[in-house]
Amino acid sequence: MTYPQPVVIDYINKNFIPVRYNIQANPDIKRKYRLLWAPTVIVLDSDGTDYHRFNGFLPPDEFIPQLEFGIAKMALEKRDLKAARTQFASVVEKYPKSDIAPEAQYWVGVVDFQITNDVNAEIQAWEKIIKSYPNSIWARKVSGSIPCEKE
Amino acid sequence: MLKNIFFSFTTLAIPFISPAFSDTKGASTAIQWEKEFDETIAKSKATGKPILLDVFMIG
Repeated sequence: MTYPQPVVIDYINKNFIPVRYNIQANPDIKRKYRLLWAPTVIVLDSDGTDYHRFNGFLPPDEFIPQLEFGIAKMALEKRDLKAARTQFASVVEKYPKSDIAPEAQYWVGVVDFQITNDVNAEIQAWEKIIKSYPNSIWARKVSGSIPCEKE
Repeated sequence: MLKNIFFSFTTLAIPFISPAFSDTKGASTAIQWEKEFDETIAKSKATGKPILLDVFMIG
């Protein structure tokens, strides 16, 4: 189980306002957040708008990166590009072996492009996916956007 | 004799020494789950922290 882990307890209490519902006893929450199954974890902002979700149980070394990724997506959607950039890069740096890391690196590239309007900044970030996560779906997604090396 | 005195001292002292070396200051032993959604929203607005919504089922 993830929640009894001290590192998870400490992380959640420090960084989130946590709330918990039984899906069977709360049809309003089920409807509002279009819930299909449990367990589901969703990152919301202070208005209750959802930004990232995942299903199923995860170990702490996957669970915490997912939550940090959710905070990054929230910053991006709120157009706080500097915070989003920092947060996505932090996911990759702190949890390079997590499943969400290559996707976070993908969004680093997107944000870099949106900040600089320079496609080379995006390509540079995406090249790191090819290099560090060559077997991920994200490497396949960006491979068509990266120019072939000159011979 | 000395051995017995040392043993008695350490036995008595351990309960007082241990807290001084343990890093439990401010640490929670459980997640502080909110019970009401409106209260959760209010606390999120007040602190600036995002909300973690966990949905579970029994059985």
